[in-house]
Amino acid sequence: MTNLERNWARAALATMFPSGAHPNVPGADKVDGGASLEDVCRTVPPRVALGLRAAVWLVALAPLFVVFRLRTLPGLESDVRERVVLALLSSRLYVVRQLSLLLKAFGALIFVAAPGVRASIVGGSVSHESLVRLGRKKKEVA
Amino acid sequence: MAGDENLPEGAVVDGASIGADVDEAFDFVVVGTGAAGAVAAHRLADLGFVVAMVEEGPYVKTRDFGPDVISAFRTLMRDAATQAIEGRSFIPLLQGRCVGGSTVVNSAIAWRLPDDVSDDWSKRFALAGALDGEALAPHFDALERELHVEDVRDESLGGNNREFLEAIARRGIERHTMRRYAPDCAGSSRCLQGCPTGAKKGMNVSYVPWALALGARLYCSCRVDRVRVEGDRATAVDATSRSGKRVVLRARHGVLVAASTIQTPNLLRRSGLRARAIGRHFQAHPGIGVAGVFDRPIHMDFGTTQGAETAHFRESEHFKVETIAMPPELLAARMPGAGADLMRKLGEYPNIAVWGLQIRSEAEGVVKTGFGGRDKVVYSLTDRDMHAARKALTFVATLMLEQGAREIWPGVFGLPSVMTSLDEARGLEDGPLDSRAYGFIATHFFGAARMGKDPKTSVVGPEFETHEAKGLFVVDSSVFPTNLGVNPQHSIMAVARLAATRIGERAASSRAA
Repeated sequence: MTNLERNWARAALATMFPSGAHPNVPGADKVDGGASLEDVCRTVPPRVALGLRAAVWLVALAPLFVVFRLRTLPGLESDVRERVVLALLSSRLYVVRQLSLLLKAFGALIFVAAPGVRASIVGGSVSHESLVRLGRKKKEVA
Repeated sequence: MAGDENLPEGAVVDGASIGADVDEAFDFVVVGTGAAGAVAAHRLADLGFVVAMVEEGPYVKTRDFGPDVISAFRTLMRDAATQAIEGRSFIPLLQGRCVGGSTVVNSAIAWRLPDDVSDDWSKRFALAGALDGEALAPHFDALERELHVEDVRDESLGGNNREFLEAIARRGIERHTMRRYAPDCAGSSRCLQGCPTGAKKGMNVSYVPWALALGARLYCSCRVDRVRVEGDRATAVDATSRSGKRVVLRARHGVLVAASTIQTPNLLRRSGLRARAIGRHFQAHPGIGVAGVFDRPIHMDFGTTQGAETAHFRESEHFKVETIAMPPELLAARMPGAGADLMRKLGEYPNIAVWGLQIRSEAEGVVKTGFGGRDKVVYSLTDRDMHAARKALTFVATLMLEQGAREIWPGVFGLPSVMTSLDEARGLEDGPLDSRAYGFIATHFFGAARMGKDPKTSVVGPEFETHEAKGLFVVDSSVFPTNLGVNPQHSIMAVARLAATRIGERAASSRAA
């Protein structure tokens, strides 16, 4: 991915998962979405990586044909960015919808895997360590 | 300590670190270590044969399973879980690609082959005695004994399953907790990411290590290029290790292919088989999840991932309904919208339940070889399937609202993304019949190397041997003539055990002769 694509990806993810909307859940602007998505592109098959990059371009250039502004996504105000992304996700064109959804799905995977995010969403009720300890204890008792 | 520790020394050959070409001989070589391959390998080893297992993916140990779905996708799933069925719509499909195959990332649900399916196979495909309930019964018994199959216990049920059972009870229809291979389930709700406690008896902690203990050898991170057929007989497996070395595993008695419905057909093609039936009659169980927000805590992060179901509509309406606790990242992808509203919804995760439907689809697809040799599945749902999906979706949506959900997210394009009343939910039955409007996902696969007596319409005969090459057997769900309408792992394992028993006994008698 180029620097430009990384910036677009970061803006797209921060638009989909913004800060400040929920008191307990941090936003994706704390995550380097561009670098993470680039990392994903290295591990998925080439055609999927191509699809993800196409999705980044689609979202970045969408302001031109959604709100008719001569800007890319990062250059818009946050409420307009959100409007653009929502329009893509609910587009009547199946390909547009699917590409935007692909980016949203990977955005969610990246975002929730960031430190502290999962615990903030689930409320931290069961930790990984406690489960592993429980499994060991059960086997020792058996 | 999980069952994947303390393995016999030298039993596992890791293809990521092989430094030289390998050429070794065994009685049998088994391709794949999922539900079919692991059970078949263990059975043959138990019958006294020298067995090699080859697996394309790595051996990821229980101690390395974490909570992040993205890490699980990258290490445990084929193509990092980005595969999709291509047809009228793209349907994501999930397959494990690691030692243990999809049993590492599924919910370990044990359903015996339903009687109506067994009868159908006997009548329509003339497989009575070869692949029916009676022939499989002793194998189901053995598997259930060895894997300690039991109903989900109350202490690990969790809120998602409990609410579902209550809701169904109110309707007065059949419902039950799942029977599973997880006798010590701690309710981690992490079946999809690899069980962190080793309680789930996936093949990675059961039949694979058990086969190794009986003297079998495992070659992991080795991709099988082809089965070598010399004359009319399978003689070896040619593979390439992840480190780039050539791995030749010679088979004195035979090669058992258990690479899964999607990989097996193309492996047979790469091995030179040309039967017209290869790749045809692919079937699946497409599913959809419906999320509902309650005013009380559900806590999907605790409890058995899939612990309750009803098969009430399986025969009459062609669908089954079950719970599926979704980790937050997968749920976020399914939640409607984006931005501030999505984040508010995500903040409600502790109060969200997800129940799913699974269609016994009548559609048949084709497994092809795509660009660059990739496995390509072309498959589109029929009108009957879409009617079943709409009916099932309506059932689940109304069930959630009756149980007290404040709002539900059915995820149908063209209909409201958030529904709050029963009237709205009932409208789902008049929803679009275009599969592109729905968020299907596919997990169970069948056919594509069907069993039958006629070489023109099938790939293997009743003894699991291919019509074209002696000593080349297919023992996974590729041989199933149809789908089942229930979770297939148990039937896949029983069929593989039956196959390995027959193949082993035949080899033993020929060796004695």
